[in-house]
Amino acid sequence: MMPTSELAELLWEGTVDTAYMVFWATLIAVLVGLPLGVMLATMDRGGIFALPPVHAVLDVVVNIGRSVPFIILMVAIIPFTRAVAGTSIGTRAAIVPLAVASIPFFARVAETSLREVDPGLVEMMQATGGSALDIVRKVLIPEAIPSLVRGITITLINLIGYSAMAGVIGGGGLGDLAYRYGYQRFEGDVMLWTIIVLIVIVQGVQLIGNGIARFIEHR
Amino acid sequence: MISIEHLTKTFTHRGRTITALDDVSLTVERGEIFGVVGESGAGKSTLIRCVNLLETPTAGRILIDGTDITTLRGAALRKARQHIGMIFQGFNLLDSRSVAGNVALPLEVMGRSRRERNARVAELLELVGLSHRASAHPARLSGGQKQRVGIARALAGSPDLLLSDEATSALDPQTTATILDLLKRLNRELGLTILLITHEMDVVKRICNRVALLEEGRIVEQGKVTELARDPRTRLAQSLFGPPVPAANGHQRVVVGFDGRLSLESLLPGLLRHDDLSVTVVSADVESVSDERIGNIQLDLGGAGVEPAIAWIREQGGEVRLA
Repeated sequence: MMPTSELAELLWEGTVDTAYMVFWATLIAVLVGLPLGVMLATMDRGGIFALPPVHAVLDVVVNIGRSVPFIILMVAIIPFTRAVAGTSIGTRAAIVPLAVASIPFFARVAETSLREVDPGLVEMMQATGGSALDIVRKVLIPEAIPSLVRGITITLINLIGYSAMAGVIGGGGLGDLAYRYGYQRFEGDVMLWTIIVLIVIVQGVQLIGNGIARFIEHR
Repeated sequence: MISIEHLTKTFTHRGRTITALDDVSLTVERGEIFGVVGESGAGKSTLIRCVNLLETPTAGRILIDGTDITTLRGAALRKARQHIGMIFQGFNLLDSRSVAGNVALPLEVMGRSRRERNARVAELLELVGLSHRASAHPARLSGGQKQRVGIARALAGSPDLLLSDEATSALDPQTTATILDLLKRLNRELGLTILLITHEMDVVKRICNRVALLEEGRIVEQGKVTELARDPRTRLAQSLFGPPVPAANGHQRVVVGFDGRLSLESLLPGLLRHDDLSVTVVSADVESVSDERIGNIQLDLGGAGVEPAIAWIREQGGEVRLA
């Protein structure tokens, strides 16, 4: 058994590392994924920005991004990670594969949210004389915000899972902790506590996400 | 105001061609309320959506104040649409915005300054009687209030023309009446021309000056509401008053239309003073149509006194049709 104070310190460090990776990766995923989601939702045939060839290419690229298992993607893009972060090892470097994996994921999530906006509202905006850009800025995105917040919550939780795998390349964080102590050194109590902390974090993120979505919903 | 000329719209779905509108022509005069009625699937919705080019016509022209709107594209089309208001069955309000924010939407599209927008929104909410709900969100409003917001939004850019796509179909009868009264008031006070589509005869009766009946994409009847309603042979009259009932054996069916010159109260006592005449009242209806009391009474007349009785009714100013 590990002394409680040492265990608490490890858990705290792991939590901070996980939060750091997940926060930056989610931020990048949303900033890049949302425009992609808008393109996916509006560029197909009959869409307000109808550009079917661009849509087709984007669709395939996003699917490829979603098909590659995270653990393989992470290793496969090590040169890219090194180019961007200057190193391929450590918490900061792990943000790169996490973001790359989450961009197509969030793009799909955003596409779904945007497509769920009542087409009657788009039509109203067209009848009002609004441009396609007006429709995106004043109708699609604002109306989809509660749903997008739920999507961000899903992405965050997904990333907490991915970030555990990032431990394999020395990414740090709670997953790394559980892997090194719990799996490699048979310290069952560390693994158990790590899992408990992860459960609490996931619960907390989901609760906060739902709360924010409900608060801004106006229904 | 609007002149629709030989408008045809076909849809191709899985290799099959469906004709939604078949050579439709009609004219809406400035300042009138024109209704298009018909069952669902008759093409009403396609027709009204062609007027602001939400649907692109397959053939034909639509002139609005002399401009053929079907030739417009891009910025010119958006500009033209800013001068045509539209209200919808489902209201189409943004949940993400307050009442005031929804009404401001067209003004933002038109690039008005915040100060101009605020002033105009306050004015519009006053007009539709919703000033006290300016900061409320649509979810907190009743159906009638939501449509008032829709109307205020449609009027934001001071259009001359309002398109109403089944605007009262989702409302209960009392609320429908208040919304129709509001539209009538806007028509009178602002000189707003209204083209509306509906499947509700009551809407036509209550506010329309003229009406067209659409059936399978064709206009089968068109004219002034008061005239169509008075003539029991028309489909409009039949939907208002019900279909004719066959005459009793050996009797002459007579339909007497009246419009204020001859009243029901004076007709029957007068007829009963005739000799050798049996009178059976089959049906009698009075409707208030476009602020006029009109109606018809269907009588079965028998005996030798039929001819003089009919002559007498005509003398009294009644419109007699033998059926």
